[in-house]
Amino acid sequence: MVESGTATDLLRWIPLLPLLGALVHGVGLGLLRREMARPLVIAISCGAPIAAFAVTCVAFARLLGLPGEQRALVDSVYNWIGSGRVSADLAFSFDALTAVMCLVVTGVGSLIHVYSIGYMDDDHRDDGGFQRFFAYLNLFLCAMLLLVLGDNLLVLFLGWEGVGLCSYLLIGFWYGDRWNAYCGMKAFVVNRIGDFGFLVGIFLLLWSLGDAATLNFAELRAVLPRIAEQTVSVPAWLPGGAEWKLTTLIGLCFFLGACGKSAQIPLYTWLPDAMAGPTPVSALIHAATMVTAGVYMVCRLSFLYETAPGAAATIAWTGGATALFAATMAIAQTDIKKVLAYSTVSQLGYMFVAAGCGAYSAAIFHVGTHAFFKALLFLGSGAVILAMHHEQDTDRMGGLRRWLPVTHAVFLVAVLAIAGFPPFSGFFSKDEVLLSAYAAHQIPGHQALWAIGLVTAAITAFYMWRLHFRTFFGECRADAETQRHIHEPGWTVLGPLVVLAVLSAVGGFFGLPAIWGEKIGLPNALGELLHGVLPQPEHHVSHATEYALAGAAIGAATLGTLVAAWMYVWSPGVPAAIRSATGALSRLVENKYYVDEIYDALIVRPLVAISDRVLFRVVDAGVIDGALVNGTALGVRAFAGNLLKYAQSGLTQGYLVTMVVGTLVIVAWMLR
Amino acid sequence: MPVPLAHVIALSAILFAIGTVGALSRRNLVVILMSIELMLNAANVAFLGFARAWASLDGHVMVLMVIVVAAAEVAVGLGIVIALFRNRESVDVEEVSLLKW
Amino acid sequence: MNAPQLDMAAIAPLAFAAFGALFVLLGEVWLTRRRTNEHFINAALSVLSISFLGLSVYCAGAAFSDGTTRVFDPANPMLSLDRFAAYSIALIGIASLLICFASISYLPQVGINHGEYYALLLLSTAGMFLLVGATDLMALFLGLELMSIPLYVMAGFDRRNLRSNESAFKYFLVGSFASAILLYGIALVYGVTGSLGFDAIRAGFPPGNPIGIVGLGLLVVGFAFKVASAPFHQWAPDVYEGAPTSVTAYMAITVKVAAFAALLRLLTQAFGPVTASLSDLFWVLAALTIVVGNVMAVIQTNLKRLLAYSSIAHAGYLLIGFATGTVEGYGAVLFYLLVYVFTNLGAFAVLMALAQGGRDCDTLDDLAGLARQRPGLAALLTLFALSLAGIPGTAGFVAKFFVFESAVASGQTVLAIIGVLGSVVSFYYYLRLPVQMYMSEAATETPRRHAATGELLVLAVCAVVVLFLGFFPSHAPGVLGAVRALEWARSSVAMLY
Repeated sequence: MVESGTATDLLRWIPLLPLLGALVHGVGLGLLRREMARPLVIAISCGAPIAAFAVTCVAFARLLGLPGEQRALVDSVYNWIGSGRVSADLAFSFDALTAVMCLVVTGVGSLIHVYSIGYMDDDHRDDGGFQRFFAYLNLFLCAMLLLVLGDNLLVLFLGWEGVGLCSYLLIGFWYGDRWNAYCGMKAFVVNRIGDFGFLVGIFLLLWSLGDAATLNFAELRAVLPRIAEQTVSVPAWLPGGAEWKLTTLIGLCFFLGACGKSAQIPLYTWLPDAMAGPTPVSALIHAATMVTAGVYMVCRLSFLYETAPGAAATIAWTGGATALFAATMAIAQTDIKKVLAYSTVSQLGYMFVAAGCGAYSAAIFHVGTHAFFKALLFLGSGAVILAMHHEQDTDRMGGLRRWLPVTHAVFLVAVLAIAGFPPFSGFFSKDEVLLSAYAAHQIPGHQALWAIGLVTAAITAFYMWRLHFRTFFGECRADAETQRHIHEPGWTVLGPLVVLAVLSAVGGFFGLPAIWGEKIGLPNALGELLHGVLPQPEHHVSHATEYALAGAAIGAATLGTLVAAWMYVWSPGVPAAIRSATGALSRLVENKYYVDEIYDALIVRPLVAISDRVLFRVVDAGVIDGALVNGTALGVRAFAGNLLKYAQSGLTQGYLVTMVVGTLVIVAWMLR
Repeated sequence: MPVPLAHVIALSAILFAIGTVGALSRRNLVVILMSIELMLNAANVAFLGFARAWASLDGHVMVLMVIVVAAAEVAVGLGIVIALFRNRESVDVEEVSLLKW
Repeated sequence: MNAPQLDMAAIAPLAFAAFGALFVLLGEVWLTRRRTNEHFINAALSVLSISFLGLSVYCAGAAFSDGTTRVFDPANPMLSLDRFAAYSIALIGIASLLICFASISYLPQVGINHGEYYALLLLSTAGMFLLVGATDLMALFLGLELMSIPLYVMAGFDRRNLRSNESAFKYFLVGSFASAILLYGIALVYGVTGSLGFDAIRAGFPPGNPIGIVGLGLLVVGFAFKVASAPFHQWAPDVYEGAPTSVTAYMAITVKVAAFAALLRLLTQAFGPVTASLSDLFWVLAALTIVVGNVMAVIQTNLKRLLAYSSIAHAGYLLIGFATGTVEGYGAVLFYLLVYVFTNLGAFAVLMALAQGGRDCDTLDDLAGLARQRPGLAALLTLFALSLAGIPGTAGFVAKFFVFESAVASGQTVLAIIGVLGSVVSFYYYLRLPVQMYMSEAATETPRRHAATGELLVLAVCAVVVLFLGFFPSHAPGVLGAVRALEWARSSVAMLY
């Protein structure tokens, strides 16, 4: 056994509290056959995550009190699977990585629970829909906490499947619509493809470790050097020749799992469809927590990827490709949640770029800041959707800042953060990611990767501002009846928004990169915290280069912003509205109307067309969704339906013939 | 002169093959039943041949057991065929294909 | 000549089941003379069967915890009650007993409450008890036939239903054909060893003799038919679909346990020295069965048929354990059987509880809107479907993990990967059950009946076991500390060597 940390009974309460909440809801619904009193439901369902957050804070404080080298708490509940060779405890460990994830999950999770009270309030269904929703939400939180707290691969997998299951239940929550049910199922099935990789990874690990087989992370870290140099033969047409490092193969298997959960190419298609679920679900599961599980797993297995350069490079490039691809897809979407969904896929790509480049703490930093600003964006869009009576199409919005000043303000903060303007949180984390790509000499083509990241940053700024302008600026395109009823939502909705806005604004200061931190005397708290847990990349980049990179990032963001402003604010020719919106700047541009036209014709229109016609309709809907996902299902069905089905003819003597042939083959084979 | 073991086994194998082909190819349910009985009896012949070769009683006992079991099986089989016949007025095996795919 | 020293305790479970069958037959005659209430007779006969099966299970449990091997006739060992037999008997007995409980309300609902049902069930169960305890090919064949013949009748129990007729006919035809093949295999094995006893075969089986090899091959084929392994699986979907649900449950669950257990004993005790050469054969059978079962299940719309293909797929996972040929692999098989019994029984019990008004609930559409009408049943069926699929936290996951892990440990990594792939595909069709129940509305709002006490009892037991084994497969906490399911399975297998 490897000494893995200080024992405590505290940790089990973190996932247990939400589980208890879910159980109370479930049993209550089952026994009473109707909803419990609303205040009671609210108290239980929001109390559970808040209590879990409190316990996490206590554990975090205790963790900080430990000396640097043994910074981990361990809570082994019991021996879950003891099969002789492999033994796995239902055990939790709490090191710096888990601490950060746990704080984000319980913190943002609590805020979203509070928000859901207001958001789901109009779900007056007779079958206890409100309570059922919170039961699933609490159950999800429990599974997510199991995932980040698990001290071995099996507990992680328990949580991993649990979050998938809850996500499926919540996407299909409004099941009146068959499409939602289909989306929920699709999310689950696509995730299973990823889980296949995960499980194969586990079994390959067990197989290669032989007598030292273990699933415990601390022990794995200790025994992994044994197989670090082993190779396996693979088909020669695969890149890298006929001999692969074993760790590369295992790492790729686990990464396939991460691709499914974190919506990377080619398994990302479920995430945009998952927007069929209620908006708080999108915020909690499909932005802040579950989809980052893949990034978390890669970071948790960083010791594996450190020995598997091929796998790490694949991760970095898959991340980069996904970031760019998803960003270009977001350009042409008009559904407010679809834009955010593609944006999430793209931002997750950034995280994998960092993780693949060995900058694991940068990846986790971006997980944290992304959780703040993307949850804010989703919840903000939820507030808009609520105000617009469940209208999600930005074609029928516009000018909403008149009615929704608070929502507009917080949304603005989030847009500034995701677009990467200093000093908002997204700037610092994205800067770290880009820097890690630029400096990662071990990754082939790392500077191209950096360039992709930079282009993506510009596109990100463009589509986020586009969304913002189309929603909050200009003339309102909704009908008069809807316009009359637009109003700011209640405090349970606005409260979490404001808190998240503050976090999105200042979140970057938790992990301030050294070049900025030195200026204002603020240490990189997150980096220092994660130092002992995650391997740190060795940067050989001068300060001047760092400033230049940051400047380039700001430049890209500004460029994207300006194009968006041209497109959606200055050119529609609504002078009065625009003047009041942008003042002197717009008057300046008004005279250059033809510039807009040229820009529009040369850059924006083709870009939108490519995004919509080629990427969205052909690549996404056609190739990936059609060929890969539906194609596999169709292939299975065709194989079963046409080949095997006719063998099952219903004629008994046909079965007898199969049996006789089978018997003859077996006997002949045994006699050979 | 005792019959050589090889002849007995050959007989049993031939009987077994005839029974198998009969079960596979005949359309009348009753004939198929008879073919399966033939297969069981082929096994019985083999048991007896081997029992004599090994001078062991086990084979004889086994044959008695198989005869009893086969009788029970045929009784049940005929019962099923009669139930089928009552419902369908036919003993053609190819018509019994409601359940498939 | 001395009177033989017989150990009656060795046949106690078997005797209770067989006598139970006789008492049920007599009881029916006696009751129908005095009572006219069919429901009462049905319930009384069921309780009678349950008590006899309870005695059998009790004897098996006592023999299991005792741990000694009892041979019925030590001078001529054909039947023994050892730890392995006791484990299998207890499993089969509990499954049959629970099916009797669920049948109390199911049979009247579909209008087939005749007393012979319980007698046939008990006789078939007695055959299984004989099968798993047999240490001689004669006893093995007798057990196999005693198990099968009543099942042919039970499959056709709904006499006026064409599908039930057809199910019985197909099962009978293919079953007796397979029996003939198996019997011929026994004859050939007898020919090369001169004996039918397992110990004598083990000592005298000549490894290179072609007649012996053909005999062994035919024996394996006979069992491959009973467990519905591809390519000997084609009868199973048709038979399972046509038979009444309670009979389908009984066939799918107990027969599989008995046949796998008997095969396991045969391979270790009689053919131990040559089993290693069969590893490749089981490899192919397992892979083929997993692929066929899972792929065909995808296109099904009939629930019983879907569960039939699912049970074929599970037979494939179980065969992985046989391909390993290690004690761990066989132990994983026995543990898997334990999980398989309770998970499948739960799923079938939900279907039984949904049968009403003379018709079975057997298509996917019948489940539409169930979550709204019967949320409890919907939740339970979801739990069982998830366990069949192998979601962590349920027993199904642990069982699969042990089997795959034993395959990996013995170097069969590719087979384990095929197994994982199969279970990935299986999610697609298992998930259609909750989708149908939770996310679609019923076409007609026919009020569904409330589940009866017997059904609820079965469901509760199965749900508790599925969750319990999911979290405590090897050690249980507190007062249940004595429950060590994995160790039980392992020690039962280890005893065979």
